[in-house]
Amino acid sequence: MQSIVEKLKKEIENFTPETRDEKIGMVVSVSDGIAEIEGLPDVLMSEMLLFDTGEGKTLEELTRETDAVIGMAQNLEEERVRAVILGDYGKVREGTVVKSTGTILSIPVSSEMVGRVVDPLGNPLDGGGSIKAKQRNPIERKAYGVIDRQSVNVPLHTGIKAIDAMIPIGRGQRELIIGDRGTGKTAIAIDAILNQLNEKPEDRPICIYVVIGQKDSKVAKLVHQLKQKGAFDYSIVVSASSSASAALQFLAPFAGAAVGEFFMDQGKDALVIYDDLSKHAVAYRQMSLLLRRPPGREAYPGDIFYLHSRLLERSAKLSPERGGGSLTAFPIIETQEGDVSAYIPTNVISITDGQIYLEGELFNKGIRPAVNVGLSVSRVGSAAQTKAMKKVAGKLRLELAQFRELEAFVQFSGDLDLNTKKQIERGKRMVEILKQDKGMPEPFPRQVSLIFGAINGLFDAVPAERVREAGLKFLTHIENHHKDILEKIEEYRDMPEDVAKALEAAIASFKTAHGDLFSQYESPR
Amino acid sequence: MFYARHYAEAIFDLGKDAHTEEKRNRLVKNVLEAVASRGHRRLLPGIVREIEKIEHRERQMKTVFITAAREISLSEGERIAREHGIEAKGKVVTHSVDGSLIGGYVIRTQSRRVDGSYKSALLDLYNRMTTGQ
Repeated sequence: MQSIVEKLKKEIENFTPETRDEKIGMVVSVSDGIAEIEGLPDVLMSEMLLFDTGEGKTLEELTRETDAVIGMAQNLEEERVRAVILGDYGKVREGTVVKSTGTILSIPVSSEMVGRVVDPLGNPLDGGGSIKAKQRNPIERKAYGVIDRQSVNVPLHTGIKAIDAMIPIGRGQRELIIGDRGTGKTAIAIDAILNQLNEKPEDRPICIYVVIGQKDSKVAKLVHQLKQKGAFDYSIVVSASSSASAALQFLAPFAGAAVGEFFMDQGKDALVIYDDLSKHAVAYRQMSLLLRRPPGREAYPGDIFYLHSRLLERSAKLSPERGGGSLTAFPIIETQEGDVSAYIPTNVISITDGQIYLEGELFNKGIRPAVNVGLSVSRVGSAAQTKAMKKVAGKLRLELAQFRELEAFVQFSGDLDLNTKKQIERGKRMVEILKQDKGMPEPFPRQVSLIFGAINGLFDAVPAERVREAGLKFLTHIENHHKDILEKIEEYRDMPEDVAKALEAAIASFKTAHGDLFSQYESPR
Repeated sequence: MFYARHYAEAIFDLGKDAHTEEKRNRLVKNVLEAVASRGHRRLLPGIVREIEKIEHRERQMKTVFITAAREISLSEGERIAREHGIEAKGKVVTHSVDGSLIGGYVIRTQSRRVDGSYKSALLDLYNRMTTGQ
C-alpha cells in the first residue's frame, strides 16, 4: 500500500504538463464502419489512427471511457484518406478529429496470452483481466527471407492416423484443410491441438486458433473442449466471430500471425489455425467494396491473392542462427458442393504446401476423418516424417489408392481373381484402421504399431466390421504387455530390426490371446 | 450522393473564377441546363448540400481555431499560435473558451493540433497511473 502511495506521489511531483503537437485530420463522412478523413499529412498505409471522441467532454467523463476508438488507414487518396474503424463507429461523427500515430497497426503480444481468448486487437474477451505486454507486433510484417529460413525438417504430429501416415506435416509448413461444410475440417484442427498433449512439454508448439466469422457458440464450445482436455494451457484463441465487424474479421488472421511470430522469434514452435479463410475473403470483399475499391472476379478485390499469400508466407521454419523457431499454418477453406476449382480455393491451394481434402461423400459413408487420400497431398512434409512412420506407411497410400480404383471396378464385375479380391479385402481393412473418432488423437508410437500390424496382415483374417475393435484391442494389448515397444519407437523415432521383431512377436501373442477375432472369418484363398 | 459530389466539386471550382454578378448568373444558368440535359435535376438539392460542405471545408482549411480555458485576446491567441510555428496571418482566427480544458489551450488547423491543455495532460497522468505504463 505504502509503495503505491509513494509511486503516486512521485508521479504527481514529477508531473509537468507537456504540449502535444499532433498531426490530425477530420472526419468528413462515416458509413458502415468506413470513415473518410481530410487532413492527416504523411499518413502511412495501414497506419493506426486514433479517433478523438473526447472533444468537449470533461476530464471526469473521459476517465470513465475505457475503449478508445481506433482505425486503420486503408485508401490514401489525393485529397482524402479512407480508414476502417475498428471499434464502436457509433461514436465517430462528421467533424471528429483523427490523430495520426505514425506507426503501423500493431497488437500487444506476450506469453501471458497463452490460455486466453483475445480479439484481433489483443483485448481479452474471456473476462480474465488485462494482459500485460511489453512488446507490440505489427499486424502486417514482411515475411522472413530465404536466408533466415531452413527447410521443414521436424514433424508436427496431428494424432490423426490418415494424416500422419500419408500426408505428413512438418513444423513451418502451410497445410490447407479444405472441404464442404460439416465434413470435419475444424475437428482435424482441434485434434491437432489436442494431440500436442502427447508431445513432451518442451516440444509442444503454442497453438493459436483464429476464429473468423464463426458462431460465438462454436467458439465457446471449442474453448470448453480445449479446457476440459487440458489443451488450453498451450493455446490462444484469437476471435473475430460473426458478430464482429468485417474489419476485425479481416484483421484476425494477421493478428494470429503476429502472435505466432512472437513465439517463433523466441525460438519456439507455434501452430496457427485460420478458421476459415473463405469467410476472411468475404470480409475483405465487404471492406474493399465499402472502401470503393474496384471489384474483380466474383466481386473480390484484385489483391485477394496477395492478401492470402502475404499472410501464409509468414509461416516459416527459421534457421538455427535465427533461433530455429517455427510457425506452422493450417488455413481452412470451405468449399461449395465440393468445388475445389472456385476462385478462393484455387488461390489458397496454390499458395500452401499441400492440402487435406475432406469429402462429403466419404463422411456420409462413415469414413471419418473423411480424407480423400487421392486429392490430398503434403509437398514438403515427407522430409519431416519420422523414419518409423515412413517405413510402415510407405505402401499405405499406394494400397489405398489402388483399393479405391478396384472398389469402383468391382461394381461392374463380380468375377474377380484372387489377387484382386485380396487387395480389396486388405483395402477395406486399411480404411477401417484409419477411421478415428474426433477428439481422440492417437500418439505417434501407437499409430506406428497399428499400421505396422495392418500392413503385416494382422487384420486380414478379421471381419471388416470388427477391424476397428480388433485395432483397439491390439493397441491395448501392446500397452499392457509390450509397453517397451512404444517407448522404443518414441525414443528412436525409427523402426530398427529389433523393434520390428518385437512387434511381430506382439502380433503373434495378440493372435493367440484373441483367437475369437480371427476364427469367424475366412480370408480369400 | 456520388454524382452530386462530383457536380458540386466541378461547380465549386468554376465558381472560383466567377467574380462578377454576370459570370455567376451565367454559371448558374449553365449548371441548370447541364444538369437538366443529363436528367439529373433531382440531384439539385444534394448538389447544393455538397457545395455547402465543400465551402465549410475550405473555410476550415483557412481557419486557425484557438480554444482556451479562459478568455484570451485575439492578439494573445495569435502569439501562442506563432510560438508553435502556426502562422495565423492571412487566415481566419477564431477563438473560443472551453472550461472543460481546466487550463491551457488547444490550437487546431486542418492537419495539425497543438494540445497544451491541462485536461489532456491530466488524462495522460491518469492513464499512466491506472495502466502502470
